[in-house]
This record gives sequence, C-alpha cells and structure tokens, in this order.
Amino acid sequence: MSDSLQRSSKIDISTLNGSNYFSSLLEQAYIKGLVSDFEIERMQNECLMLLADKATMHNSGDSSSILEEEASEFMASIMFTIGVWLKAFQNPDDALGALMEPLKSIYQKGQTKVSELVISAKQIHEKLLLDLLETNNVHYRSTFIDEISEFFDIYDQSFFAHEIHDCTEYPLFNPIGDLAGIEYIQAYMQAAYLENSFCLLFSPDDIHTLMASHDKGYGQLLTNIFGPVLSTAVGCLIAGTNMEKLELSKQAIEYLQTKIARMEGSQVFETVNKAILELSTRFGFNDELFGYIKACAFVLTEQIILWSTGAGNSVFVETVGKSETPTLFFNAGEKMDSVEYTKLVDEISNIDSTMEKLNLINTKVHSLGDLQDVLIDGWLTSEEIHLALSNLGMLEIAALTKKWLNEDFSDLSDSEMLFVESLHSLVFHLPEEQQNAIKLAGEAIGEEWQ
Amino acid sequence: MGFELIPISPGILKQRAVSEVLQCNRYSSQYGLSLTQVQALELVQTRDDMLKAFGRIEFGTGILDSIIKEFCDSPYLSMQNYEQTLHDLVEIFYYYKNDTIGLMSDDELLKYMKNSYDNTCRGSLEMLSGSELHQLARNLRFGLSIDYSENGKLESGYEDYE
Repeated sequence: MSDSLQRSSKIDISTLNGSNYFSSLLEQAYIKGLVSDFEIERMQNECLMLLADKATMHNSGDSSSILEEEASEFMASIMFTIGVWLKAFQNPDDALGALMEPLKSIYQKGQTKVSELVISAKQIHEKLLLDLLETNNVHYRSTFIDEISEFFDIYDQSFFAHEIHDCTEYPLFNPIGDLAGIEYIQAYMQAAYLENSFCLLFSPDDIHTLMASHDKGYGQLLTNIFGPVLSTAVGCLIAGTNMEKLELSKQAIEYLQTKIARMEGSQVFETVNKAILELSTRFGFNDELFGYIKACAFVLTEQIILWSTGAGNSVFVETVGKSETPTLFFNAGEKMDSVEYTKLVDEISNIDSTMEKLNLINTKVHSLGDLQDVLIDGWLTSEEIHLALSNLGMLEIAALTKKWLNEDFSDLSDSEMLFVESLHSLVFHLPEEQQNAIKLAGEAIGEEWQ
Repeated sequence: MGFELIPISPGILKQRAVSEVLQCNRYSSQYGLSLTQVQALELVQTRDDMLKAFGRIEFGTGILDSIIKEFCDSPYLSMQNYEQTLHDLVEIFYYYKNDTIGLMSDDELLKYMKNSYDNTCRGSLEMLSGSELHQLARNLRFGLSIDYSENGKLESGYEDYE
C-alpha cells in the first residue's frame, strides 16, 4: 500500500477552502487541537511582520501608516500566496507540518509557485489566441483577446496575488469554483482552451447557425458556446443525424424527446457517456480534452433530463436559418499604437485648413477603427467629418452605421454625438437604393469588429 | 477561531509607544517642553483613536516621535499649549494624510505643516487645518503646484519644503 496515496489525514480535506486555504487549514487544525495557541500567535505575529514589510515596500518607506483597506488587501495576498505553497502537499497534515517553518520562508516558496502559475497561464493564453474560434459573440473575443491580456498586464503578485480583476466575463460550461488569484485564472484558461479546442472541431459557420438557432442575438449575449456545441453533437449522435454539421431537425428533436423520456436517469448518463466516447473516437481527443468533456457529462445529463421533462432550458434546438443571413467577417484593419495616435490627433487639431486635415488623415490612418476615433477626438467640424466619411466605401459606412446608429444616444459624449449626426446625415442623403444596401450589409456584418 | 488581522498584545505595543514618546522629552526639554507619563499615554491613545477614525494601520515607531521632534522648536509652543497642540497635530496629520491621498510622505507633510504653522499661520491650528492644508490637499489632488493659490499667485514662505 502506497503510504503517500493511502495515508489518511486528521484534517478532512473537504472542509478546506480552496480560495482561503491557509486560514481554513489553520482553523480546522485549531478545532481538532492540532495546533496550540502559542503556534497560532507565532503565525499571527509572523503574518503581521510580513504585512509590515509589504507596507514599507509599497510606500517606499515614506509613510509609517497605511489605509486599513490596503492592509487588508496585502494580508489577503500574503495568505493566498502561503496557501498556494501549502496546496503542494497532497495531505493536509503534511501542509500543517510545513507551517512549523517560519512563514517568511513559506511565503517566498509560495511566490515562486505563483510565478510559475503566471507563466503557465500566459502560455495557455498564447496557445488559445493562436487559434481562437471565429465567432460573432463579442464577449468571447473581448474576454480572451482584451480582458485576459489586460489581467497579465496589471496582475501584481507582490501585493494583490489573490485578485482576478474581473477579467473572466465569458462564462465557462463548468464554472471554476473555490479558487482565487492566479490559481483561478490558470484553471479558467485551461478550461477555456479545452472548450475552444473542442469548438474548433466544427466549422464556425455551423456553430454560428447553431448559436443563432438558440438566440439570434447571441452575439451580444453573455452565453457559453461550448455547451450548445457539445450537447448538439451528443444529441446528433444519439439521434443518428449529421453530427459534423451540428444539425438537429425537428423530427430528430422529437425522437430525442421520446427516447430520453423513456429512460432512467442512469441510462441517460450512460447514453451521454457513450456518445462522448464516440466523439472522442471520431475526433481523436487527447487525454486532457477527453477528461474535460467526460467531466461535463454529469451536468449535460442533468440538463438533458430536465429538458425532456419540460422543466429545463432548450438543450437541443432545431437548427434553423442556415445561411439565411450570410455573415461578413469585417476586417477593420490594425489600429496604430497609442503614442502614434495621440501625436496624430495633436497634429490634426493644430491644423486650420480642412484639406490639409483630410490629407493627413488619408495618409496616416489605415484602419476604420482609427478613423472613427480620429473623427471623434480630432476636434473636427461636422463638415470635415462629413467630408472624411464621404471617402469611405459602402461596406465601411455600413460597419459604422451598424455600430453607431444603434447606440443609446444619451450615453454619447458631445464629440461622439457630432460624429453620429454627421454619419446619419451622410446616410440620410444617399439614394434610397444605397441606403437599403447599407442596411443589408450592416445586418450581415458580424459584431466582432466593434 | 478566525485567523484574522489582529494586533498581538496591544498592551505591549502601547507601552512601547509611550516609552518612545517619553524618550522625546530628552530632545524637547532643550526648548522647555516635556510630557508626563500620563500625558504621553493620553497622546498614544489619541493616536490610536485617530488611526481608527481615519481607517489606518501603523507599523514601527509611528508618527508621534516625528511630530514632537519636528514641532518642539516652534516659537508658538510653550508648556501651556504643548500637550493640547500635540493632540491636535496628531488629528490634523492623519486627516491630511488621507486627504492628500498618499501623494506626500510623512516627512514632507510634517515639514509643510511646521513651516505653515510657524510662518503663514503664526501658531494658529485653525488656520493650519482649515486653510493651508486644505489648499495643499486640493492642489495635490488637482495636480497643481503645492503652493498654488486661488487668486493665481504662488504663495511664498515654503522655502524649506522640498
């Protein structure tokens, strides 16, 4: 019998809190009489000394005091970091034993572990961005392209190691629970990477059709994409329809409803698992992906049973409107860096002649995103904005119209309002035929460029 | 049992602070100023109250020692007003430590307070708190020069402040 695997722990691991591991370990140890008051007091003292060091480091020794809120955040960061190291011990008793060492040394080991987690999460993020699913869902792209990148820019493991900075807006199929800081982000990125990998096995167009069948406005919804793709693939295999295209007809759904309604819960679970195994065989899942999807079987089974009784959400949806509205993946071009942009705006605002301003814009601006920003930030008159917009093609006007003419005008700044009024005036004065073409093109353009 | 951020043995910490305040008597007595044990204890209590009131936590020796050493050579201090002035200065210091949103170090703020107290305010704590420091905090928050005044002129008399 392997000692490390089988040795029981005096502390029940299920009572420990993953996001407050250190304090929950001490609490349980104290309740069970495994640590003395003296030891607790020693650790409190050492924590306060670590906090005092942090406070001094934070204000460069310029201030003898810090705000309570700062102290509380620093302490949470210290305790989180210590907890990260303690989790390296599989047996909580061993983790408790490690606490006999000075906390300063444990904290330093925790910092090393946190750094490793940052590197790992960054690597997963880079891999994800290399092959991110093309989707109209704005939250999918904004979370993985912008928010997670921003997290790595602002994550401060010295003072706020326990923070996640609200960067995980896009919901996963299986939400990450009971973790904090970089541990949470690393687990979130790993799950997101696997969900994305699974979705890449299907065509973006088919996923678009499926998601639009669930909700036409899915592009703006905070909704998970992997879930419907997995459930539909599983449903297709159970119903014997075209799984590769993610197509479920009305008849197939009726068949699924009848079939599942006759099954016991355990049979549904078994059927779902069999379908997952078949998916794995067909696509050749690696162990990680297979493990992740297998772990989703329980939740998926629950959803399917609820659906079959009419109590749950629509797990299986008839795929409708295939290619009804062709989606244009509009490429707005790459934006210039902020320094270059600021310089350009300064230049434009210092020029008096309209023609010179327009020439400069034509020469320096190479993306629609930059153009709209320059027209808003460049202190231009409505005539100048109108002239600049007149040079654009129909598709670009459609893209701007889609973005701006559906905005809530009360949220716009004065300069944005001037821009919107000029855009509106330009479109309004076009021949009706062109206005209709712009409208149609706007409907076909995906949300992602916004 | 909660493993929380609580100061250990507050009695011992307080005793240490009182002792540090009393040690300042050696320095301040050359200006004819000193505090008794009871007065020192009351001053430490005021500091604790102010830290709590302004939501701050202090590490190390704290600010009392610095306030006493900075102000004890002021021509506006005598044994009659020494104790009360120190209580008021502690309150003013922590108020403006928060109001200057961490843009000044302890030393910078104390030097500014001392300079204003001795010069512009001529020993008036009301003027120091209500006018000089109020203006300083506003200037810092708005990113203005620290001696910028509303009438557009730069105040003088802060030569010692760096």
